[in-house]
Amino acid sequence: MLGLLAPTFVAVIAALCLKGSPRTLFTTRVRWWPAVLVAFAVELVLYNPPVNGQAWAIQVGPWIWLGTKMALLAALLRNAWPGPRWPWLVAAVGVALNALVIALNDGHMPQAAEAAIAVWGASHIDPTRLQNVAPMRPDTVLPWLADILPQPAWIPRPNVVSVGDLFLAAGVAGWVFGAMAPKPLVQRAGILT
Amino acid sequence: MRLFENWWERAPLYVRIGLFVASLVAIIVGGGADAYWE
Repeated sequence: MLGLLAPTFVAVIAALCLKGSPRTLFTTRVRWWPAVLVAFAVELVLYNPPVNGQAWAIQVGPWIWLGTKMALLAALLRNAWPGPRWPWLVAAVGVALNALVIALNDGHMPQAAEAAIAVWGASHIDPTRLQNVAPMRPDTVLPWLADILPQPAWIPRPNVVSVGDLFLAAGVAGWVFGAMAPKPLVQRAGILT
Repeated sequence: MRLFENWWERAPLYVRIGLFVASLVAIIVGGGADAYWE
């Protein structure tokens, strides 16, 4: 999880090194931010005790999770227009890819066992509680877009991520860099913020 | 939605910083699909 935040930290440091300013970030609002925060709050409640052990949560939780992904996707697309503003579009592609795989695999993100073993030494999937990932099976749909990429061990709290996760992290980092970097540099690079 | 969005621009700077950081974390962690909460 922390590995996905790392590109944004790098973007902040890079922009500061180029004499950028964080002021623009705080004066430019994230459109539909209430929807973003509500969607995330729903995920936090859903996948933590006591809700994640409830029978109803195990049954309908995956579809609620997919609903939160759609809300986040709508918010990202809202931020991409008028524009297009490509960092938001890249992030939206990431969430759309994740949502597609989740929708086609019964509301769970398939996780490759060999990648999980590479990161944690064993698979952590517990079928007695609601979890957002499920073991990858031979009939998994779009396995190449699932959680198949183990993060390196030197990253704090490494995880297994998907291609969509990488798009999402890169898009947000690109937006942060574009908003912070000096404007002449941003215009030369063609980053519309 | 517009009511809340406009409130962002009227909020004090420290509140905006908090909202910004929370929104960014919510987008990345909430939009991601790696295993919670390993």
